[in-house]
Amino acid sequence: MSVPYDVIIIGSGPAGVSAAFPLVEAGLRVAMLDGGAAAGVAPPQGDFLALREADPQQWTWMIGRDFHALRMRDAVSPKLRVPTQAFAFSGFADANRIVAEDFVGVGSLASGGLSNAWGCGVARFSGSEGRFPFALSDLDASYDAVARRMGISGGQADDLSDYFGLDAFAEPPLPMDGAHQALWRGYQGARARVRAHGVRIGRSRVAVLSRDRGARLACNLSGNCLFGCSRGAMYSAAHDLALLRRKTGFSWKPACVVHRFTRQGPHWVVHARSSDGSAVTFEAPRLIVAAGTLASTRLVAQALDHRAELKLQSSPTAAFLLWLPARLGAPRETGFGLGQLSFTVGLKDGCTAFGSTFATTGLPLSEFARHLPLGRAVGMKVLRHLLSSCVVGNLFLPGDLCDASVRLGAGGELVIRGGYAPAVPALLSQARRQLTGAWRALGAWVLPGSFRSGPPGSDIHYIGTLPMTENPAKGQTSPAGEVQGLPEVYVVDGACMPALPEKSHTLTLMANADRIGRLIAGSIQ
Amino acid sequence: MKFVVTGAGGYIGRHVSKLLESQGHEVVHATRRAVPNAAWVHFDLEDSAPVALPAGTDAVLHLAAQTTSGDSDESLRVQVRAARALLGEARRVGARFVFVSSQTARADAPTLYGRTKWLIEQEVLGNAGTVVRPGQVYGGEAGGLFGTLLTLVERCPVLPAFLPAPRVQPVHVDDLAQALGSVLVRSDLGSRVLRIGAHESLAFTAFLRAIAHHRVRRARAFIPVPSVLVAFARTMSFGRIAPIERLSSLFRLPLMATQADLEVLGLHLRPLEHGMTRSGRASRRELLAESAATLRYVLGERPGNALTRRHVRALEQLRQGRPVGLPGWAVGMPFLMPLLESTGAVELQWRLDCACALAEATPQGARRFLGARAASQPLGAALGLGAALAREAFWRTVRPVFAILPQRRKTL
Repeated sequence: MSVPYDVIIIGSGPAGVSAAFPLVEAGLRVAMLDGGAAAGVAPPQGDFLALREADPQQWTWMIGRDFHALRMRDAVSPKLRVPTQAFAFSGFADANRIVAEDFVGVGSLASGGLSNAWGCGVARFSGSEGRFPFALSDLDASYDAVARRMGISGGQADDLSDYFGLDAFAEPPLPMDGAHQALWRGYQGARARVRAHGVRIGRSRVAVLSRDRGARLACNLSGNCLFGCSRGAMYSAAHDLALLRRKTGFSWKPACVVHRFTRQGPHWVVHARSSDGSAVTFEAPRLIVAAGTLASTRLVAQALDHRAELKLQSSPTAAFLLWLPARLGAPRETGFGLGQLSFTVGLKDGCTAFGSTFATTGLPLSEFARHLPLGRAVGMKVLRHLLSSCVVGNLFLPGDLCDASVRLGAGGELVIRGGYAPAVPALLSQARRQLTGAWRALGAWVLPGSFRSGPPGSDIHYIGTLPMTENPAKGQTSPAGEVQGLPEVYVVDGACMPALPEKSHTLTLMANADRIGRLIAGSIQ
Repeated sequence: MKFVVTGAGGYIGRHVSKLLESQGHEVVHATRRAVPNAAWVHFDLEDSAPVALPAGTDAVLHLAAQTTSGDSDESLRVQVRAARALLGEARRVGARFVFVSSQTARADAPTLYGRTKWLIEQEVLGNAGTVVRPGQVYGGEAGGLFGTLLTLVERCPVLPAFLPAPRVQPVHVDDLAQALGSVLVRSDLGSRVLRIGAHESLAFTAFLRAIAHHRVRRARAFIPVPSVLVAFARTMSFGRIAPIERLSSLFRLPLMATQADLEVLGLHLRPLEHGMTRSGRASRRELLAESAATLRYVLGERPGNALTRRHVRALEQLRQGRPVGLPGWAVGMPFLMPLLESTGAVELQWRLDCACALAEATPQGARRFLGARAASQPLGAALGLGAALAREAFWRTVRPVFAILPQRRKTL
């Protein structure tokens, strides 16, 4: 019996598109099933400050005509409140039957998945960070291919060059704003004093173009990052999907939410629902599951009828506000809205924290005002005068410090239970103390009370539920990502990654998907 | 979820079905006659053949009741039998059961209606079902007892003021619908009685006056009528005249403690003066005044009209158009708002946050909050910061003094 596809890929996020390229390039027939949600509100076009000063319609992209930002008031991250990004998150938990308890369980039904609204942080894993059941060098070619396709900037010789390990592929960094230039200058003069606190600082390596590349235009520092980039400078898997759609042998099936897959003879049958509610099926001898860690885990656990608890890794996080008193009263300036400087903090027992600092200009003041212990009008006034001399920072700890698990429920739903390991509060306060000391050496203050830890899952880095191991047991995957007990079903997204270090994991996740794509292509030919 | 609603065509039934459908649930109307464009199963209280519930029903909402009394004992027997059959059928398909009873439900209720409701309650509670006892239901599209009273107030220039006046605990039909909606979706409530009505009771005369003032918008005269006359009329009619029966059910209403049950459902009842209006909401003027005041407070200057209207629209969409209840002095002098700001005033905080977010997303707000791209002004910023913090210190000193002053507290 012949089927129209050699491989079906479930999901069009960073993992799905990365696995697709080597397969399509090897001449295989690939179908990609995708929730297909697309942006409903266009991102702002033009200079952020100019738009804020003159555009009477700015509320449509800052708040939304349906008051999206106000409806999402209690969501953990400003990203989740942005109307232009609503499509990247909405409907996921219901459609994929994800039930999260004490955990922020986020996913995407959008073409391009969560990468529509990511922070663009990229890094390469070391062997001890990745804990892969294969030689780290097996990822080299994949890192190269994926990084070159995405476009990475921030490459320069600095104290984090080795940590990121990407300078061979990276374009030069984007210009920094005044506050970050001041910090950077300070670091050049006080490197030893900063490093005495266990802190190293370097430019952020980000998947943002500093040079034009095809239809995508280089970042012009217009400052709209949080609200979406109309130039396509920030990488999204949706860009790769557009490239794939031009290739022969690739079929895109949008508006399909997969709810299960079953074995029929030599083939896998994928059962999906299209957006109008009708049932559709697809058939192929091989399946690549890349629906995002949470959705992929549910699909695989359901196919295996595996009801054991599976450990879920996710990075404990914190955020803080850093004040540069020397810049008090500085005028607002538009600039790059994602990470400009990054840092690592060496903590006890060999644990490392990683974080980046961001400009405050692109963030609404009301995001900060309600966390201040002041009356609202006073709070807004304080921020009006203070925020132009501040940068915001975030911080991540390794994912094995998350005490979370998932389990397939009786009704086929995936129940997530979240929590942090007991060591987390002490590690976070150690990081806060060391960072406070390091920034003081640069003339900057962590504002008292501003250092706050986020709830479990709020990093939205989820991995490790179906980890690759040398000798996989039920509910685990082989070094090629193949699910034990489900022949020719490969998991290529975060679910199959064995370890989550504190650093940005997306690039490695994509490189691993590329590697598995190559292995499958090689095995067929 | 899939819900079967008996009496879906009645006063409460219409409102609750509409709400459930708007929330994306599937509503199967269980009524005597088929309903066009709606899922339907045949259900008749007087039919001894059991109803067939559709597979996959998550819960049954039993609203159907005989309110006109025929042969009294026969009516009671028929209604209890119908409820029992429906309960059995719900158990068979694994559906939860929610029964809408009445404030008058008691073993020794003066009316047949109250006794019938009480008997059915016992059946429902014995089968792990949930009972909801609403107070005086009013508002929305007229129907039920409210419809009768509305017609009365519309037609009669002079109305009775019963002495002593019965006391009612009003609940807007849409608030009740919301309560029933949350009872239906919850599986944790089980066998219990939930009382839904205003926490503070109201004289029936005041209730009629509210209908006249807010809904009919006519002045009505009230003449005192001794309550014993109603009892007399009832005796003379042998309990056969429905309107007199309904009216007499209002007398000797047991007062309900509703606060705990409202909290269980997270429900805030709208004030009577808002619910009585045709839209069921406060006047837009009141909302506009509050929005203008909160915006003016956070901006420190008069907000643009488009911004104020946007704030009102947000409240209409996200807060059912309910005013927060700002006192007149705060509406008139928004700079005094810090006197009301406290961590306990959760709803006011929400509205101020909403005002901050909407205000800053305008060119006016960007000018106030973002600062122009002017030259560096360290001194100006330092003075601005100092002034803001001095203001905070002032209000922190004044607030405790204000808090001990005697005043009419509204919920904020």
